[in-house]
Amino acid sequence: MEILSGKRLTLLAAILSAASMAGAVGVAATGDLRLSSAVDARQCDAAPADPARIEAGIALAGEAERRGDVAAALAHYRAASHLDPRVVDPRSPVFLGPAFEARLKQWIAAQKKGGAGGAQARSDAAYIFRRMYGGCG
Amino acid sequence: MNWRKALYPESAALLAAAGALLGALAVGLTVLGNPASTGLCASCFLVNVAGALGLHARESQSYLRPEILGIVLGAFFAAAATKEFRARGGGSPIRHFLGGAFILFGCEVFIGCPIKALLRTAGGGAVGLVGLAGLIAGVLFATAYLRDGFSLPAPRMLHEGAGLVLPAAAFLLLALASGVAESFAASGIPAGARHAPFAVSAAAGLLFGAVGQRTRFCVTGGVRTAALTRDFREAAGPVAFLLAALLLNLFTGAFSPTLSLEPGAHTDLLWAFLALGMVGFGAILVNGCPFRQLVRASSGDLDAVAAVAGMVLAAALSVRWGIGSSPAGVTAAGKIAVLLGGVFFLVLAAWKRKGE
Repeated sequence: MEILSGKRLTLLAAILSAASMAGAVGVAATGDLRLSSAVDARQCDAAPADPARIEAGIALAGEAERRGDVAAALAHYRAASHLDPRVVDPRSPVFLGPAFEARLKQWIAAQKKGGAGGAQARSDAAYIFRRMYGGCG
Repeated sequence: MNWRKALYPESAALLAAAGALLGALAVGLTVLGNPASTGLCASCFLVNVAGALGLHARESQSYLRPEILGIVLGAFFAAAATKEFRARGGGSPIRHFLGGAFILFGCEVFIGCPIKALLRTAGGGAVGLVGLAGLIAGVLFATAYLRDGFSLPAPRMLHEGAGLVLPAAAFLLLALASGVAESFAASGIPAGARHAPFAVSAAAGLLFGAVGQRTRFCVTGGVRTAALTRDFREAAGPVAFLLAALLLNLFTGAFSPTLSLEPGAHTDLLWAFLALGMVGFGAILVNGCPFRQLVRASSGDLDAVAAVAGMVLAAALSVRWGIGSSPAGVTAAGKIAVLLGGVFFLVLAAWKRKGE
């Protein structure tokens, strides 16, 4: 670590600072500050903008489930949770319910065994699972 | 039992036992209702407190966490009982305030403070493990500046009453919360933030604070001391914390090695590493991670009080500005906050060295 001392450390700090500033400007210029994730973070508890769209999405998910198309159902549930995160929050009055929670766990268990769904279905199920538990609250 | 040794622990065995106790308590609080891997997380709890005080409007993250109030009071009583409570400050309050704010931003981008990184790792979370690696890398990088003479101005001794502000505020809030919590965190979602029973959380918080004060428990501090002096006693606490939490998770079946199924987490490894890397680097420069700042502030250090104030403000802004990450991913605002935090601490590190 002796090589990192004196003016070399100052120079390294200057280079890293410049790189970080350039990165921050780059993210600000190219990254959408209103990305769905940012909006999602802000709207976590807010009333949904369009309840009809959410209800329609959940209805489509239910239909897909009845057809046995778990991948399509998960995609619709994920889209609905993007519009209103409360649908996958067990504390919320608009939560999809314990039966849905149990089915989700079954689907994930089946996916782990190499069963139903492709990569997108696994991603959708994992997203809903992460959303459902934990975080900072 | 030698009470003097217990009250002034210096051996690796005692520090490890204390760390294991804290780890077990943290897992216990999760079992009793706290969010996954959040039995003890200073940054998450500060976000919850900020929400309960009306500084942000996300009700699911609003709760006047008795753990935080307990930590402050526990550390205060431990410091006072052992004559270590000394009001001091004025060394570098602005740098502590800004440093505390950027550290909190980094924690929110990772989703958790360094202690939660231990708990997430103990739960099997790959992102938690990568964050922990980033934290250690940041601390090791900061030690290069410490070796090269980095230091902030020394605080001055102040009138004892000045150091009582934070403990008094915590006492008042705890008293209010135990009686009229509903009016603090009125919530559209019935329970607000997930939480263990109030009395259990308050008692655990008191223990966290008291043990943390006596053992100087600090994840970043342990790594720093080990790197600088090859003295591994301080690191024994965090290592034992991790092992105790891991063993309990294995015992209860809560351990599940995963990248994509970590509750409440995102899956962005790069930003988890960078965010906690910035936190580790900054925490060394301002003398402590969020938990340690709370403990120091409760022991009369007004510079640490400034850091806590910065963290509370940042906790509110991280929600309001969408800086905090969610399972959906890391936000653009979060990435910018981490990078600007890096710039702030790098400039501070390069500037405050002898001879520079």
